[in-house]
Amino acid sequence: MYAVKWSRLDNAAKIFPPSTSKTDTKVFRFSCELYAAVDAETLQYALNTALEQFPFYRMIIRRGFFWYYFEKSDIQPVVREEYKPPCAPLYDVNRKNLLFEITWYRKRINLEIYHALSDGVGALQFLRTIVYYYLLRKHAGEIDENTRMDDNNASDEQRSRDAFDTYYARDKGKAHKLPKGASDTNVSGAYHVRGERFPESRLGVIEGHVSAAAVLQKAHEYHATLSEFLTTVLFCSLSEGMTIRDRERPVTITIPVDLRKYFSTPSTRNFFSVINVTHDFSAAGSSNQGSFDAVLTGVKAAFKALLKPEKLHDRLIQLLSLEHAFAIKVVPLFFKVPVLRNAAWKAEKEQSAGLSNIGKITMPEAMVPYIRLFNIFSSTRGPHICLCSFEDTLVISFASPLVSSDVQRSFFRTLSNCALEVEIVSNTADLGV
Amino acid sequence: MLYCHKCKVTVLGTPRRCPLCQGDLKGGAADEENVFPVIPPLPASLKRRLLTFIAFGTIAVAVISVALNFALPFGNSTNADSGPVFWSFFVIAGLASLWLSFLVINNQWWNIPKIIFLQLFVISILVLLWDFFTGFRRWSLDFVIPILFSCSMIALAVFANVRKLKVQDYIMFLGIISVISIFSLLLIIFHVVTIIYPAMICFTLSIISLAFLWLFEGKSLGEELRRRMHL
Repeated sequence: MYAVKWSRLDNAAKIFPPSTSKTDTKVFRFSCELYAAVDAETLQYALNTALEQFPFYRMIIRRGFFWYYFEKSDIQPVVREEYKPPCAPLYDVNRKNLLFEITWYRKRINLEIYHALSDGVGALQFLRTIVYYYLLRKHAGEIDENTRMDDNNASDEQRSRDAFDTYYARDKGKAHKLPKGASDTNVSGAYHVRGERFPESRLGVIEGHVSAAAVLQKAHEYHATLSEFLTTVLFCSLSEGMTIRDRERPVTITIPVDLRKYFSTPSTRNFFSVINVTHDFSAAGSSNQGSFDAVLTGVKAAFKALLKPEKLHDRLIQLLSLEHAFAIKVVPLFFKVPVLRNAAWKAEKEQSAGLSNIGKITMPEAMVPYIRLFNIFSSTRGPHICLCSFEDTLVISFASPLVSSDVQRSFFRTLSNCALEVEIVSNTADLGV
Repeated sequence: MLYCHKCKVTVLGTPRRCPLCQGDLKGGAADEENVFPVIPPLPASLKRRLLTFIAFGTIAVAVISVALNFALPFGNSTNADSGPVFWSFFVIAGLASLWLSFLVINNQWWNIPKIIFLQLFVISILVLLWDFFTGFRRWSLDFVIPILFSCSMIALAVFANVRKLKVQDYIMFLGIISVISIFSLLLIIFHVVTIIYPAMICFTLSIISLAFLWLFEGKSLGEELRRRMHL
């Protein structure tokens, strides 16, 4: 039988295989912490059942002559107790292995996934489905078996569809030129936090658990959204460690935007764009340019300007028309790889830090009492914050390959100084420094 | 549960210092609160250490052979008037060939069809170069290259059969080798080779192999090509 299904990499995924390295594995981890210890056997059952609904996650990446592509495999994933550092490499150009992995440790179920396969919101659907089947079987007597996931009506095929492709129309290829001065255009050489890195390119993760309602209330006091408020806190934390020379460079925070909010799709593959919010601290000494309120005003204005649907649409078309340009298509992959790698390197030079907000995670009401929290963090070269909330627990995961915890300290102290109760848990004590 | 008075945060798990400010922690540490297992550092792999030794040995042998070449009297006693003999050059070229062939397969030991495919081309080119720079007596074209191509086709077919490989895992390699093998006929027609048997066998095998691919796996080959060549 030769019925191998295959698929192209979507627009966002194309950049990942060439730019993956040992230091930046492009792997992110989504975890769900329960109140009871995880049972491996039930988890394996839950994974097998969920995988039937998400056949796309069985794909492996292969190299073609012009592009990488996904090829269906029949590899059966096996759940294991956590055995390697967080966000360790999953994709190896020479090896054929699945691009995701399910591990467990004590009360946590971890889904590690290679970014080419899916983005955070897509992976969340997969993890929720696994947790759903896990709890349904584990607590068979206690949870009503008719409990359903709210958004489970999309077909397998819909979930596997490339949403970028759905929203690309050639006649709209003539995107409006982006206005100059907007901070999503190139910012050359943003400020970078430097310093010693953890051995073996490991990732240090510091998680802060806070009450979602309390933070939200604090943000509303400033008339800001949660993302705007925490982005501002991050800006100020970064600026604290800057020297006068550093201040000459702009600080840029990259924020991934989930395009599903703007263009509806049931796809669980990549469908995101990024915006770069920039703040210039160079005049901070003379004026109040560096004060919290000044930064917040700038952040709010940038969010408003950059998150307009038409703007995101233009950006989408711009990127897609690049991919669909015939001259680019016909270049052999061998020559494309260095170009893509260079593009990724350039984009990285423009980033000081990252902040991803996955938002509010919901589970069927009958299952809520069994789940303590959801958590996400991602491999990164600089400081990177990921947020997600479940019920009233907002988890702020601060991932960084750098040994120094100055930015983290400043960030969480800002929160605790706002009279917020912060609970910290980390892996940095055992990283052998 | 621990508490850092400087950061005013609760700290879970068993860190000795505050993860944020490295300050003192008050309260009781609880191991069951840890959410990350301790992963010990990976030991340096044996392969890596072996490689380091071999690389070191290669450099040492190369340098010593050059030194000896210059230290000992040039030429040999049988024909003293033939000028200096730089035999150390052959030592270095030999070591370089070995390394080139070795580096090509580095990190893909388990992909046997790919190793066969890559080695075939690397060794063929190296053999051709060696032949060319040592007087071009055509032993590479007469014997080595046709025999290598014939053996590769047979080895791929046997390996694929024994290991029950999926069609897409070897079909491109076998296809490319077979197509290139056809050119062995040109070697015979244009009298490039003086001994025709190896080239003849190579040509015969290539036609048989292509016929097999076309008749039995034609559809799969087409699909694999479409995938690999998609724009």
